[in-house]
Amino acid sequence: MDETQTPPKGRPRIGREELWAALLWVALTAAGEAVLWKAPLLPERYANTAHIVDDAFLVLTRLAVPVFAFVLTVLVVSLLRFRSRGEPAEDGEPIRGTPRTIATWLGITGGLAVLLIFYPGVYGILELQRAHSAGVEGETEPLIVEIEAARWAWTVTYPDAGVTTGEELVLPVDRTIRFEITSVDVLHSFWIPAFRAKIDAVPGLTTVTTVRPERTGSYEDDPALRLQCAELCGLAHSTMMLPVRVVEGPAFDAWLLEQGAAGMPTCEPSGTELRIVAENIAFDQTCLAVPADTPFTIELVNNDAGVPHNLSIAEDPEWTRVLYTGETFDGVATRTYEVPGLPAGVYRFRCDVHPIPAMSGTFVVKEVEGS
Amino acid sequence: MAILKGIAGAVAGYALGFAVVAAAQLAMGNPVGGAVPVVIGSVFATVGWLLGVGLWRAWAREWFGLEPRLDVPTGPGRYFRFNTDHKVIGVQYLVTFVIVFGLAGLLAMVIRWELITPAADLGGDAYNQVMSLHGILMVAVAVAAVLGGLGNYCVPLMIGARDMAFPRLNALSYWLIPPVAVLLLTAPFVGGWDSGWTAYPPLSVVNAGGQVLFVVAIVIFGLSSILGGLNAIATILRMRAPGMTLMRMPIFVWSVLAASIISLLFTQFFAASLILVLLDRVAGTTFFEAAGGGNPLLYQHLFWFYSHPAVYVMILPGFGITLEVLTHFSRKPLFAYKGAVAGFLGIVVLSGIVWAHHMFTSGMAHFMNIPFMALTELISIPTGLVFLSALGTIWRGRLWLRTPMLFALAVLFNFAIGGVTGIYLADVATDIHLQDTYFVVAHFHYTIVGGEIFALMAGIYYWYPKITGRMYREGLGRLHAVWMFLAFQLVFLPLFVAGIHGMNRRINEYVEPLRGYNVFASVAAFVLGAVFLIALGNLVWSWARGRVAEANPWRATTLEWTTSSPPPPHNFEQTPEVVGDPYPYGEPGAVHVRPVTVPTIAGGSE
Ligand code: HEM
Ligand SMILES: [Cu+2]
Ligand SMILES: [Cu+2]
Repeated sequence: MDETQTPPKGRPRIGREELWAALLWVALTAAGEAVLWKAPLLPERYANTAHIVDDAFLVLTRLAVPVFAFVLTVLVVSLLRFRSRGEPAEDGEPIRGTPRTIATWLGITGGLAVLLIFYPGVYGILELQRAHSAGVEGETEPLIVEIEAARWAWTVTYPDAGVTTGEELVLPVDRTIRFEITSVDVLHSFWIPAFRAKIDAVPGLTTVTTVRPERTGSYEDDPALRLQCAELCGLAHSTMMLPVRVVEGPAFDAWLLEQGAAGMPTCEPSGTELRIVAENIAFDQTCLAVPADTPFTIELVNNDAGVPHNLSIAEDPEWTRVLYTGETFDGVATRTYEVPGLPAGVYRFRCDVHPIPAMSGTFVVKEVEGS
Repeated sequence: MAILKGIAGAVAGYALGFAVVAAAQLAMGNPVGGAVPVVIGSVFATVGWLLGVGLWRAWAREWFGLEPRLDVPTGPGRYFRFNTDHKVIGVQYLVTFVIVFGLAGLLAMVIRWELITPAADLGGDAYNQVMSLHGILMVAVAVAAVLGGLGNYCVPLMIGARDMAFPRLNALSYWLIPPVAVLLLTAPFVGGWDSGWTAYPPLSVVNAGGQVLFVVAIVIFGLSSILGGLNAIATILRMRAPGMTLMRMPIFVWSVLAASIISLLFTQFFAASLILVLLDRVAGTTFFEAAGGGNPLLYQHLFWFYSHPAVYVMILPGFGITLEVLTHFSRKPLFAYKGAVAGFLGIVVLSGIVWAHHMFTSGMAHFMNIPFMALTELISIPTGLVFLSALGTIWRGRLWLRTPMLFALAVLFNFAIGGVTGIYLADVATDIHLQDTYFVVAHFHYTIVGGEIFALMAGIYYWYPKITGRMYREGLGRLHAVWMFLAFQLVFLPLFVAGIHGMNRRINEYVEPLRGYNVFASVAAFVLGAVFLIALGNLVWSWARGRVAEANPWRATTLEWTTSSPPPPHNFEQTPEVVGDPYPYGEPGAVHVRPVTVPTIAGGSE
């Protein structure tokens, strides 16, 4: 531009201060990274989405450490070495920086920015998308939970079970859950800190977020397990909150039953000797019940001549967590299965040869008073 | 006197406006009342106020073929009327916003007091109103204190101009501010408003009547910002002294130019979005009402289209002051001057195309996530240039640790934290968790307070001798700097953690495990608040009794230090001639301005 702005000749020299600074920077960075190794920076994770968010958080923090350490180093070394006692008697060296310095700096900061955009940036977005869709493919169906926000309460509906509640949000562990969220009045925001999941509830719009809880737990153990309104909505915004409880699948079904789930048969235990009849490719009962933690017997009467049947019990509708499988045999015959005690919960039973509705049912295992 | 006339004008204007609307309502057979007469009354009141306070005398008479009266008194009276001297206006802005800052600071103390316990000590509605008022008052301070105050006072001096390009417009910009303050402060008496400074509909369409006053206030404030921005741009482009090329301008002037471009281009979007809210409220339109075919997300796009650039209106002049102070107090030329200028301009360009990073969890279409994340993260490149300039300037300097320098160094520390935490909010994955939590609150306080307000303090102490003609007490100034720095960290560092651990923002009750962070932050906040009493005492007392300051107590090189402290009415006894770089430290013989020659009787030798 003009003559006073031309940089001084020669390359910047490396003096004592530069060496000190390099050492300090490395030391601060190392210390920072070491602290990160163990520091419990983030709350407990209860869902698959939480891992993705927290991984991105840690990557960013790892990268932030050297950047912040650099600024800190320059400040500290300058304060220690370049401080003038009283008014400086002379000026500093007129170092204005060469185009090369600026280009190098731009290269480093630009490279960092581009890195951040792709990792953890775009990478994290894709991971979240995969997490949102993967479960949906792996299972037959995600569990749909409808959330309606209104000033100042949440209403939760399980459309398949026909259950609606405003008391708590109960979710089964290890199942993909698709939340369909809307609002009837102003903006609200659906946030479960333990899942790192957040999306606004917007009037006139249904927003969706998908999570797969990975651990059981409840608001009483960890307040991060709560559905908290995170968008200012007026008077009682602060307390627009619903406790979240993640339970095992059977306990979830049991809870749905308690809430009067439509279309789900229910029954009470009345002893440890069950009897069930299979005839015309159908069981004569849709519900069986036994006391919890007590061994029991099931007498299976197969009245279909030449047709094989059996009875098995599982936790989930996909029959991936099977608790008991009875031997298959042709009719007409009768067998008695001896089944070890099961923990309380609502399970399912079926005939493995004919897994049709007529040969399936609910298997209730319940604590019984005085037993 | 002028102020009394202004008040009379305001009352008359309000009555007139209200009466006109009431008459129309009667004529149409509608019930009299509601929000419309208040809105129109407020607008008329603002006009009446302006006319009374001096617009009529000094300007409007001209429109009717009368002679304007431009005489102004000297002495303290000159501050209390429509006055076109940029130095008077600068002081008016500064003092006004110091008062607003104090009020909003007291509200911050109320907020922190409420948050000591997890339970509600203040009602939810009262809390939301206090929080909203704190927010908008502080936003006003952040937008206008540096630009309107220090920008007005220093820019003409630094470029060797006699005044701003449009002095009467300048006075108008200032006198629009008191109505804004009055409207915001009367809002609590008509139910206040509880929707924060962001005023998202539908809440802002259905809440209490104070929201209407908020809307009117912001529209007036926006007008003031736009006029101020226009004036600053015209001044910087057209009023520079001979020889003051753009690349010889002090860096603070560049930052004011960059920020003013943003004000001029974007402010109307905030006003427009709020006017739509107003129409939804009073005229039955449904811009933001889903049931009527509107869309609440539309508001967020409009709002952030201004309000994201606005954060750079706040921080750019803060960067400018910081670099300015760092270079003079390191006694070194500004490192990578052109890089810093490029950084400012790069920020201006990028600031306009990143707004939707505030909306990752809003329910907007997913395809917008990646572009807005990428663009936002690119801002770290021009911001990095500003940091290069700052760090390169202090390196191997002769650091003179006077009060302004301490504040400027603190800005670097604070903004490093503010900037780095901003990345977490630009990253979609992390933002999903952090959006609307105390992490955001801590982040923006680190940038606005830690960046801009610390820089404002640096600027106030730096130019104090120039503005007042007296020196503040250095010991107290340094105490202020160190105390404010330490207390600030203690208030806001724990709030990052609280946010990560599940503390959402804008709440008066929270879950028990968050108590520790909050007790800590609140106690630290009271300690932080206390330091302003010391600072205020120092600044007020010194203005009256302080040691008389020389023209150039810092031996700084830029133009404002070549004239007396305080400067004469037209700034320079003789138009300065600029011959070189603004910061010719360490370069023997190099100068920024040609030394003023002793005036000779007969224009002779030189
Ligand atoms: C004494 C120092 C201060 C303290 C302790 C403080 C504290 C707070 C707190 C606790 C909130 C509520 C956050 C929320 O729930 O969202 C808040 C909001 C806010 N503060 Fe401050 N603050 C201080 C100074 C400032 C300053 C100097 C500025 C700007 C110049 C500022 C700007 C804001 C803004 C814009 C909001 C957001 C309001 C909203 O959400 O509508 N604060 N502050
Ligand atoms: Cu809500
Ligand atoms: Cu933004």
